[in-house]
Amino acid sequence: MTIQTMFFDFFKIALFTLGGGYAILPVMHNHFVKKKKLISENEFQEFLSVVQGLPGSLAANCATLIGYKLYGVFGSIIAVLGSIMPSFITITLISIFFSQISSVTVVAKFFLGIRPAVVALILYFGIGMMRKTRWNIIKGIMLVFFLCMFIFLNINPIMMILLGIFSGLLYTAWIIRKGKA
Amino acid sequence: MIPLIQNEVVLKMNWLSPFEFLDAIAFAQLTPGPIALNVATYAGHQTGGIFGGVVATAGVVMPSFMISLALAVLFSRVRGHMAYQNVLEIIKLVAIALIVSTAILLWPNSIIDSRGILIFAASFLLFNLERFNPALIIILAGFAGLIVYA
Repeated sequence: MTIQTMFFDFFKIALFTLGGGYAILPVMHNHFVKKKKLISENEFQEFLSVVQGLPGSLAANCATLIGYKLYGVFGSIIAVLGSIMPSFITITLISIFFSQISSVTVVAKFFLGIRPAVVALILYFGIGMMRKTRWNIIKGIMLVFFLCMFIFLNINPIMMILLGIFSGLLYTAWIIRKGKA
Repeated sequence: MIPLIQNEVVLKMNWLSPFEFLDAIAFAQLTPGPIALNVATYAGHQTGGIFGGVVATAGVVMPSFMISLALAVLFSRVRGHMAYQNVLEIIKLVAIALIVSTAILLWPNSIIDSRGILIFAASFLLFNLERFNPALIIILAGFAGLIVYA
C-alpha cells in the first residue's frame, strides 16, 4: 500500500461512516486489520486502548496511530489529514450553501434509522473485543467494576486508565519481588 | 467537549449566537466526522470565512494529534517490556468497558420505539455475519429509517 492509498482509505472511511467516533473505529478495524491485514489484531486493540484515554476525536487519534505505524511521522500527518478532510469539506459546503438543511424531516428520519444501527455496531464491536480476550476471574471482576463506573457513576475514562496503569505497574512489581524471593 | 466550545464561542467571545450554535450542532450531527470537529469548523467558518474554518479545524486537531504521535513514538520504545504488557492487559478491559457502556448509554436516545429495536436487531445480525462493510450497513439503516418512519 502506498501512502496515497492510505490517504484515500482514511478519506473514504471518514466520508462514508456516519454516526460519530465510536462508529468509525469498527470500520477502521474492518479495513486495516481484516481486509488489508496491515495492522495485527493485537496492535489494533492496543491503539483502541490508547485512544480512549486521549483528548480529541477518537477517529483522528486512531488514524494518527495507524499512520505512524505504517509510515512514521509523515504517515501520521497524512492519516489525520485524510480522516478530517471529509468533515471539513462537507461542513464548509454546508455553511456556505445549505443553512436550512437541519429542518428537513427526511434527514431526521434517515438519522432515526442510523442511530439504532450505530448502537448495534458499537455493541458488536465490544463483544468482538471480549471474545478476543483471554478471561480469568480477576479480569471478569475488573470488567464489571469498570462497567459500573462508566454506566452508573459517569466516571471520566482517564481516571480509570490511570487506575489501570497504576495497578498494572503494582502487579508487575509484585511479580518481580515474588520472583526474587 | 461541546459545552466547552459553547462556553468559549457563544458566551465569552460572542462569535455565534446561541441559535446559530444550535444550528452548528445540528449540521455537525448530519455530516460525517466527529461532532466537536464539525462544530469548530462551522464556528470558524461563520466567524472568519474559509480561512477561519481552516484555523479552527487545525486548532481542534493539533493538541490530540501531538499527544497521539508522542505516545506512538513512546510505545515503539517500551513495547515488549513486561510492565507494558501488564498495564496494557488492564487498559484493554477499560477500553472494552467504555465501548460497551457507550452502547448502553446511547440506547435510550437512539432506540426510541419498536421500529428502532427492529433496525437495531437487523443491523446487529448483519454486523455479525461479517460479510458486508459496516459503513454500508449503517447507510442502509438510514434508508430503512426513511421507510419505517415514513
